[in-house]
Amino acid sequence: MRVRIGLEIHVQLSNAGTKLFCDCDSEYRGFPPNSNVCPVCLGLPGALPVPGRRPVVLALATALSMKCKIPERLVFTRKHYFYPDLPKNYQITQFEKAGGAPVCLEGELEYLDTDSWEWRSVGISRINLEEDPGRTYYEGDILRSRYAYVDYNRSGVPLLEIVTKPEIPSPRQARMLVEYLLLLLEYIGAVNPRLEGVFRVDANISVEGGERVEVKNIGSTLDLEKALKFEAKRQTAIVERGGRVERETRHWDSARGMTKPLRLKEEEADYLYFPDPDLPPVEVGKDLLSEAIGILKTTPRSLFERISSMGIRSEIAWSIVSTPPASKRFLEAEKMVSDKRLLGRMIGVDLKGELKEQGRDLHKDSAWPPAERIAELVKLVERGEYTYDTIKGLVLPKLASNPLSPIQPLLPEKVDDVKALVDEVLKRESKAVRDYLSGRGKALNYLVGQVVRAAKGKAIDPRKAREELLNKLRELEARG
Amino acid sequence: MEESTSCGALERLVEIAKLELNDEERSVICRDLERISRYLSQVSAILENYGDVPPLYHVWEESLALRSRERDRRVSLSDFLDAWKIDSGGRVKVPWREVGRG
Amino acid sequence: MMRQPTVHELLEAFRHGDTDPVENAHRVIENIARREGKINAYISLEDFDSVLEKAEDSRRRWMRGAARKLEGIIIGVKDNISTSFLPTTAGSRILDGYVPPFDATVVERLQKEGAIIIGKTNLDEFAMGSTGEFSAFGPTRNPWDEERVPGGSSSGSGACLAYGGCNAALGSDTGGSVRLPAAYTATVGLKPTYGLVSRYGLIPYGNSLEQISPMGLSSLDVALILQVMSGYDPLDATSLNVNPDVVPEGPADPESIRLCIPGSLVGMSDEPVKKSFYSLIDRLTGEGASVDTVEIEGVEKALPTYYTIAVAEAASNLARFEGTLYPSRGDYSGDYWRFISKSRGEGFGIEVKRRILMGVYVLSEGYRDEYYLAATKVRRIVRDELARITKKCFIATPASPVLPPKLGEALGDPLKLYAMDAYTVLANLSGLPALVVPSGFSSNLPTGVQFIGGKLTERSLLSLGMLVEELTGIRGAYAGG
Ligand SMILES: [Zn+2]
Repeated sequence: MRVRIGLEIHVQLSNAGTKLFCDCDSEYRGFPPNSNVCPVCLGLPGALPVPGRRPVVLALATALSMKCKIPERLVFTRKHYFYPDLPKNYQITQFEKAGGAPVCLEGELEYLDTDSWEWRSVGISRINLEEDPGRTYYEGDILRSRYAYVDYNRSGVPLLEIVTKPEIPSPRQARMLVEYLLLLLEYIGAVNPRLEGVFRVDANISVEGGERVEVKNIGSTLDLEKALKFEAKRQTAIVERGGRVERETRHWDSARGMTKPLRLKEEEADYLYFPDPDLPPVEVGKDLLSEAIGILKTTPRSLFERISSMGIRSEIAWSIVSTPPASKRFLEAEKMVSDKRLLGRMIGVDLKGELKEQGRDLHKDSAWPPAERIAELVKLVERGEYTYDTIKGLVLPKLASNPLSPIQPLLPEKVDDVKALVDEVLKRESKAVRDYLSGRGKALNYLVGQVVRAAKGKAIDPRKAREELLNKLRELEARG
Repeated sequence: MEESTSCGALERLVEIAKLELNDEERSVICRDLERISRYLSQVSAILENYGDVPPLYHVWEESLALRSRERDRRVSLSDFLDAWKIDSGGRVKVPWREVGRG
Repeated sequence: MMRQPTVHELLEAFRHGDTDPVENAHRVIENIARREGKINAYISLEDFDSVLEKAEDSRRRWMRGAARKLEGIIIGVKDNISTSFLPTTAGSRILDGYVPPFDATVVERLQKEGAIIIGKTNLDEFAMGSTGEFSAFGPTRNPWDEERVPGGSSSGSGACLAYGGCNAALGSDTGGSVRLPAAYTATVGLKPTYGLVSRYGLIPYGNSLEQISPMGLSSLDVALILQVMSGYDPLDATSLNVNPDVVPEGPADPESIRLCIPGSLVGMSDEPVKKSFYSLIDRLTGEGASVDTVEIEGVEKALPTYYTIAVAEAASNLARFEGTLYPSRGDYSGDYWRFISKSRGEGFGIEVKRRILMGVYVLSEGYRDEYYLAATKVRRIVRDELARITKKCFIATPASPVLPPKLGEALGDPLKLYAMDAYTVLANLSGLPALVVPSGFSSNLPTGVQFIGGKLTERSLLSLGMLVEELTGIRGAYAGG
């Protein structure tokens, strides 16, 4: 059954440096409660909001990346509702229907379908730049807590509300879209997508013949796919039974893996929108736009295409692009080596795999060795000094655990006398030699393996071993 | 408009504004709301004599100067808030649900 | 008429050693001790010993030649302007006990130039009112006639000036809130060009309309205070990026003055007000000023336009007061939404409630276009019209259509109360500067004249004020009592 999904994605601009309207920190995690607050983000009367340059530039860069219509002037509006975590009891946002002008109206987000490796696109209705509320804690259940306990450290953190058109065809596509979006925002320096609670998704989903159902409170891309799959199945079942899917709002219960109707009936709200009189419009001038364009130099897409054009497989290219420190290494090292595919494989598959294996944080820049070291390894293989397998098996594990180490000490000793090893093996493996000589060619592989084993961890080129073996075997054959 | 300014409409306004009124205030404001809203409705009437006038929200229609980092203005809640409203973890305690004690 | 020294005179006297800041402080404190019990101009007062200590500091600075621009001048600050060293209530029960953790920009600037803040002056709750009677801390009485109101909402600022309880005062002006008190207390009040003075720290009522505004015993005093407090503030996004010199060199040349009088608007005033107004205009023309009568388009709708915008902004600004981040009384528990409704119900007075509910009304879905949006459009018409007229002349009107009412007289009918602002709101809607100076006395009650000038014409407005003072002789008027 055909499914249509629309997303409302809230992403904190965690890397903006400051909150949207004051100089408190945009990355509030790690502060003791209520220690990242000032009169502005506490909404104290008389304290006035002044938008920061960085959050606005990041929002514009996001809008530009989605080919949005960007208004000449951004206008902030007030949205009123009473809630303990909202210190002014209004949120400053950009509602376009009450005199506001959001940073983006009508755009298009392109994302990579990592199943088919095709680019897809979905319409963007708008992007708002707004302030995040504080965080509320309850004693146990939200419905039974006597008090709400509020920490305003998050209050005022710049938040992008990105609203897509309801045209995403499947839960999996929804997930891939959000994953790509987060990566994009990471590339422009706006967001660290791995921070807890840095994004939240509300999704609306309908199946053919049913009303639209809103699913709130989705906190990860994995949950997004799960919640939407659950909902698609639930709605399909209703329609197939001949029932009707009612318009409603449901809540994603991540622990139980199911959506549930919201128990609190939402009030019919009147948000009393109007333009914030404290905030004259922000003129989107040349200087702001060029600053925004400047940080858009590299997008995951441009990078992916560039890496793919070097003959690197999509899976590997994406593996590199989806890990920004890896792509940084790749782009630097790429200029130093000639075999780009080898480099791609080393960074995107084996080094990354080794780091992961060792439990390192792949997104931490310092977890990765410098690009020159990686390039050095590739060059060793290019020059035939070591085999790729030797580097992979013997060097990468050491480099991964000690990324700043110079390469030389990590290189295994080379077997200096391959002939001696071959002689030793031939002497020992008389049965295999007989087999080979009697025409069973496969025995050669066995013998090569034995020679490599006899190297006892020292580097040996299996091709050389094979060559030497063949020489000796020919001699033996000749001797009869 | 007549319907909207009746005391029934007042209930909705009171609900949105989160503003409890006593009986006396209710009757005074009920009477005034109707008069005041009629008074304020003159404004839209005058617009009929004009073409399309764009709204004016900020009197000089200037654009604002974006902030670059100013100065740290962080404050501590205990600078202005009663100590008993702050829990031991530093969070602000706000009444939330009606629940029986114990 | 009894006189008291103006700020300008005090500074001259301090410089020449004719008197000193300590003597001045003693005189002010004596006046407060004598009159405050009855007048109720202050909500909170600084400890007098600490005032005298600061005055002593100032005295020494004058002695050693290190005096700053307002060294030793004693200032009353309206209690909706945030001070970290004195409570800031905005005249409301809901903020009783609130001490802000920061100072308003203007307070910082005045203190940096040696001014001494002696207390926080009374006002209509959240500056909503024209008489001062809506204060949760009791009404302020007019020092010229204690049965009458001193005008509002900056009631305490006007009153403390008139009885000598301060040398100068700060008010705020959203729709006439320093100009009405100036007119009713024979003092001078200037609503600056919107954006000339930082609003950082002003508890907001109608953000797009209001300015913190100086009040004084003369136009020159107002200029001296404004010079220190005005200018660009990066903490206020509506602050204009200008730092003009606003202190006039002297009274304006009457021959250079062109006045425009909106005839039919002035015609709405009570007889004694009109009489006083036109007799001043006659004197000005006698000196060589030229006068035209004009009709201002949209002007008759200025008042409802003003109120629509003001109540909308007020409803929004006051949403934050619900008893959690601010002082609260009574039971601190129960259902959140019931709790806040109750806190707000108990914390706000009737006029504030009326305006909040009207504000919600004009912004609510289905009514927003008819009310709020329409008002923002008419505001443009009024602004354009006033900007056009003030390019060629100062608009002159009485400050208020009525003489200072008796206490209780105007309270019953909100529309009648709003009508007191008929002349003053023009400047707030248009963002233009407007000055009120005393025009005379009518049966021992002060009357004031208002001049509205073009954007950032404070300096010429104030020199016109000085000219008027020359003609009326009213400068440093002292309601001895
Ligand atoms: Zn802050």
